[in-house]
Amino acid sequence: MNFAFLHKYAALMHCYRLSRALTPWLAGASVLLFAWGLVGGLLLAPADYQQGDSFRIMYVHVPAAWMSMFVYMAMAVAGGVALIWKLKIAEIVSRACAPLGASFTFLALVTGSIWGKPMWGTWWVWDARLTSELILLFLYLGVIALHGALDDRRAGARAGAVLALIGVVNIPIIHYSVEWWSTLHQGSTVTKFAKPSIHIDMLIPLLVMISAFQCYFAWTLLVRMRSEILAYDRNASWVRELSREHGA
Amino acid sequence: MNHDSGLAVRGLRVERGERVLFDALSFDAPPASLVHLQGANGSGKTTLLKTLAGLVTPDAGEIHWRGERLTRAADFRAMLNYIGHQGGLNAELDAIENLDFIATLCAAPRRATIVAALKALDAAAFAERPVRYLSAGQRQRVTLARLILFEAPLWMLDEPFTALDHASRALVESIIDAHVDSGGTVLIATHQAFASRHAIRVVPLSDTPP
Amino acid sequence: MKPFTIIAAVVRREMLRAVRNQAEALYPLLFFALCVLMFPFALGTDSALLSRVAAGVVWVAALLASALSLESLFRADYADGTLEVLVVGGASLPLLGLGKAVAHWLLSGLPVLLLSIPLGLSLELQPALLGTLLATLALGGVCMSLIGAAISALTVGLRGGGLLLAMLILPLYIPVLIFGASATANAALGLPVAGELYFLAGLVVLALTLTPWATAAALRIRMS
Repeated sequence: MNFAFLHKYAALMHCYRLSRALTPWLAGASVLLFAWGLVGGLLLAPADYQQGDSFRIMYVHVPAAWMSMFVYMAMAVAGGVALIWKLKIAEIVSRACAPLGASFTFLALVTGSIWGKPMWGTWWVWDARLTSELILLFLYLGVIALHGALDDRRAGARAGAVLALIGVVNIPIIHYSVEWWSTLHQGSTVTKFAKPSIHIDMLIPLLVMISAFQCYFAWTLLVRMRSEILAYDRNASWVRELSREHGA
Repeated sequence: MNHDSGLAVRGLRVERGERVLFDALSFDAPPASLVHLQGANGSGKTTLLKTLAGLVTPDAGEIHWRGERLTRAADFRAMLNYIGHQGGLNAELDAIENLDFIATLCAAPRRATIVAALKALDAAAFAERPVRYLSAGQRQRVTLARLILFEAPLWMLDEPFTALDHASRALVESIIDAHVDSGGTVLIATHQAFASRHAIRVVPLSDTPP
Repeated sequence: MKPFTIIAAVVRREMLRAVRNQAEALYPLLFFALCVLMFPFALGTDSALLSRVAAGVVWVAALLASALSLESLFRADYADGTLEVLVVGGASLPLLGLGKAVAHWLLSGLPVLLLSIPLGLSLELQPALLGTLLATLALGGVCMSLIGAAISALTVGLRGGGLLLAMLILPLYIPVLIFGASATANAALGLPVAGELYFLAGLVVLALTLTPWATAAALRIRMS
């Protein structure tokens, strides 16, 4: 399989053009979905009988946590493709995913903490899921550190890919260990962020928010990929033409 | 020019960080030839050798060894004697321990004992002294002993004459000549000039347009 | 070349280097001891408190000692060009990684294991718990050396060196820490620890099968 040398310049240039074409639509779709989801979740959905209105942060926390896992998988898969087939575009996707995933993880942690305050009175609990998210954040930061630590961009992407793949194997182990540890130390079997059996009126805004986050991720990923593509192909004629056009 | 054996390079391009080190580089190194990769420091000689040795993946171009593309040449590593400019000697161990370790792990077959190889490079006298106590020239001779130690038709040498005095330099040049005599291929990357009985094919690197 | 011969050659070389550079070989042990000894100063000498935290403190110190001693695993070979010779020369990189991990455990994990006996007792660890602590440290130490070899290969020669390595590796060590430390906690309560030990053994097997390939990939990336 020799895709790597197949019109290699054209491949990156086409990705750049594709990104430019798609991002306005994705931006529009994200805004609409966010509007729909936030109105539906924050205003229209019925209040939870136990938690009142404070549960509404779930509409940001749950999609953010979901995305943090999803983006890690995407980063690891792209990294695996980059290692096996040495495709530049896979390296670029992997590199671009890392800071985005870290941001989602951070958002999940902050919203999780905010959710916890009215419920348990403290800003942080050593809940299994929240602790796993914290460890995931460190895994992301490690990958980002590796991306920057190597002088050669491509080698940095591949090193990050190896770490991401080691992380992917570890994530289920970490998750299970932390859950086990959490039940051991808390004694009670109340899982703090347990999924309630969710009513359809609450579910629809949640699904809309997840779609909104997905669109937003696709949008920001394509934007990040553009700058990575320019960096990867900096010596190519199309990039030089582009910078001339923009008066750089 | 026989493309079916020896090394053939076509349209090689390597970028490192921000720079294009070389582009559209092509040359042949058939059996019984001596190739001089010539260029000033920083012209990409070391990266070229690393690319030919399979450490660096080129951004474009192909490398063929004995008619097959390098990535598919299964026993290429067993046919290569690569002497980088770092030497590969651990300072706390002595020459014999260092060479024994490399020989145990590497794929190329041995064709001489370690002591014989060191003798050929006039390095037997300090074979059992830890490398940290050897001078730069002595270390270089121990490093070059790998050329005698392993049976390998293709030699790639990165600045092999570093730190060698006049006599040692002549010794190494004669070893290289003997290898070419027996049908081997030698690529030497150096900014220095060197002498040989054989015709030297020069591949200039600084002149290759990026 | 038989795999055992290669691993034995790697281990023998590391041992020779350690014998010839004994001071450096002792650093992980000294660090481990100092780390443990910090805690009575921080927490006070109340027997009951120290007794409760003894196993956990020993575990964290062992973890940190392992993480910090990993930096020198490939550093010399990277700096003097041996790694380049081995990668170009077609050496089996997974076996090299495995050999380095074994050597790391022999030079760092095993001594830490032995030193944890007097240090644990100095923290008022109940003697009955020593068996469990040692069993978990043994298994966990092997795991840490195996994962550590891969991450050490990934970060060899990079700016940020030892701290970057520690930052990358500590999250990966957490499952080992959880099961290692809680096994002793369970033993203190008289509960069975077989589950934790089996889990650690499982982690060892997983690490044995997967990490050599990660180490090999990492070495190839650093050599490019």
